[in-house]
Amino acid sequence: MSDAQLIARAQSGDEQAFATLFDQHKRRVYSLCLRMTGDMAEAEDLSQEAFLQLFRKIATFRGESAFSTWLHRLVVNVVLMHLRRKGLQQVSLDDVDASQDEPVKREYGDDDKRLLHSIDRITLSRAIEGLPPGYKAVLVLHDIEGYEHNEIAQILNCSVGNSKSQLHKARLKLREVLRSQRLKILSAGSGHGSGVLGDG
Amino acid sequence: MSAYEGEGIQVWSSEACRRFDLQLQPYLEGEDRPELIAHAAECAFCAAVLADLLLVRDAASAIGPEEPPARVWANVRATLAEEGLIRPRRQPRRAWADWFLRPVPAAGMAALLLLGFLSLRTRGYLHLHPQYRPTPIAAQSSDPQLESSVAEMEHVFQAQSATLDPAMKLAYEKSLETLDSEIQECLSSLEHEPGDGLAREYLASAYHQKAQVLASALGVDDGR
Repeated sequence: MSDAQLIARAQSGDEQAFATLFDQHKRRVYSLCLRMTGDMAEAEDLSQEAFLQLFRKIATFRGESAFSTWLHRLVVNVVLMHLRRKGLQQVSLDDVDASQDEPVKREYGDDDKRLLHSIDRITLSRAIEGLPPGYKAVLVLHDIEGYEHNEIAQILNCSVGNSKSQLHKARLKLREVLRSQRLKILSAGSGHGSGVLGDG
Repeated sequence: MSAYEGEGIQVWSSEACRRFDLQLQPYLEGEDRPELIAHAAECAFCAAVLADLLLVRDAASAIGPEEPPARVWANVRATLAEEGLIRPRRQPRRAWADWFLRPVPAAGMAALLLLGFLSLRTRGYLHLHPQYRPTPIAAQSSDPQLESSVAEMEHVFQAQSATLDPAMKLAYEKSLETLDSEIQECLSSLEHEPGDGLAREYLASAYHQKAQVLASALGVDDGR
């Protein structure tokens, strides 16, 4: 059954249609909430809130945009509102780390030419959590959830160019975070506590 | 290309490196940039940057979506029902259900189920922890009691899996395999870094999900 048929049935209150829509989109919604907040309990609450808002508003959905785009825009708004309420960090999608406007940092030690060799899921998840919200949203939507830039632009209400640029900066930032994590581990493992980049 | 060397740190900077920086984003977006590739072949630093960013991109795309706990839908559904937004779908009654709902067969079936349950307990198949409830579940650190219950349930599942419908069996086995691999990944992370809170949280979640899958496979009432 297509999204349009399911939505039409959900608009008439069909429980099975709600359940199917939930089932089709629950992983992407929950993952987006989880990656944006880095907290399972918050991700659960926010997924719940996003789906409730979605189902309450479903009667107003007219199909001008893809259903998943509409849903994800709603999810991002729910998450950003939550982060604003928490007041823990700047949550404007345009408000990002200005240091990333600098070119790629060109420093490395001789023993560390290739900065990353493999990344496990947990390390990566933790590094993503540390990104500013604007970077995080674009990176999660593009690299993890597989959205195209034009879709992300619609979801985040920004330009395609902005989405591309945020993504690039997010990846550079992520590399920097992963690199410093790896260097910490190397430094601890070799008994050097200085944290200096390589030993020459 | 100029290079500063001192204290084991090298800082590379050249016009070619700057052009590489500018071309990096379009290249990663899929545009053809032969100059970037040629430069990466000559410049060790830029080659490392490129390799790292490709690795970051690929690793992120391999993360994959996470499964939310079953209670998310239960809560959404309950709220929608309270608000009167859904009307339950009436299932067409099947012929066998009419038979099943007759008083005598229903009582007989209840007796059979009770006998079956007692027989499993007597043979030592069912020793689920009395306090074990698959839901509601809160994300928390790994729980030895839960792990032990999961191990027992898995044992029962293995003993009974031959009796399951082959498609259901395969689906359950695939879910369990995925969760086992997640558990292994978390354990390995914790082995390297015992204080890793995120790995512990993922581990607890994986155990809870495994308990839910096993409970569903075994038809254990979760109290909802």
